[in-house]
Amino acid sequence: MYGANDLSSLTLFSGGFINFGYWADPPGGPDSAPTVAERTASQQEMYRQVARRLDLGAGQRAAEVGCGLGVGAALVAAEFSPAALVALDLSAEQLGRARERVPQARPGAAAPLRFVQADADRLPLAEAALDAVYSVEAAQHFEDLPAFAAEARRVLRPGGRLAVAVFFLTAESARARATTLLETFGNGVDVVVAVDDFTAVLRAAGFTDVAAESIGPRVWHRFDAWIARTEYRDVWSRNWLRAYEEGLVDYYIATARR
Amino acid sequence: MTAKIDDWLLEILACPQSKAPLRLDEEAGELVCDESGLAYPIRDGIPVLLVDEARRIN
Repeated sequence: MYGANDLSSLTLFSGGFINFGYWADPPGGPDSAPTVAERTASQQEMYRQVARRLDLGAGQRAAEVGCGLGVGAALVAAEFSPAALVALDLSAEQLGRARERVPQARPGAAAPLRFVQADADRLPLAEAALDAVYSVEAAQHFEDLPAFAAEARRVLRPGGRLAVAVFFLTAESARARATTLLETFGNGVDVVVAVDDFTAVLRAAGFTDVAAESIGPRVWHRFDAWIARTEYRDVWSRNWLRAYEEGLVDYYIATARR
Repeated sequence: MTAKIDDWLLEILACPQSKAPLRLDEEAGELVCDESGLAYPIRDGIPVLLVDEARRIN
């Protein structure tokens, strides 16, 4: 789905990030139109929120699953000083763009960041090799969540942490209504599960301290205000906020410990 | 054709099928898993660690 289309070229996703954003209090007040700078900052902050929940710090080894264009991984590598960060994506096209955008990840470069083409449910990583595994707005494309969870657990050391930021159904019973509102749910681009089903998958894989924190109040209203000033203002994308306000979907950061 | 891969990366990577360590075949530009008998390409400096894209070796 990311083949010919570079989503980052759309005004919806400024700065090469592709996520809905974790928005700060708007400097111009709640009714102000978000600026491009606010939009870019919101997508950067989403990565920081995830990295903080991993306790990611100097000397640690981590992987991002579904890194897309890699600019989020580049931010994590620069700001959190891991010893190693392997950024994985299934799409050769996305990684080709990542290679151009993030030259510090090329072989031999000094930054501890490298891209690898891989499947989320067959991670090409050694057992217990990592301190942290994370994913930002990519798990809705994973074909086999139980396999991803088992693989994430396998590659983490005991005590290692997992964080997954993505939207989920608030409950399975919300599926029918959410699917009528959200085009990507109906056409299969996003394969979305209920949040409790995802946390159950993590527990079944053997993770402990499993939690899913709603960050919806920091996501949906400003994201909708941003959409309202883009070419998407009149299409179904506005239904994200509606689906949130109807209690059908929310944005979460799920965390767990190996 | 020669390929490079950083030592620290090779240490973390594993075959997606067998989960065994990979070794670099510099001349072929491939990462090889002797356990599964698969050789994975490195394209534009990016290891392609997909079983479907691997070459079967004996």
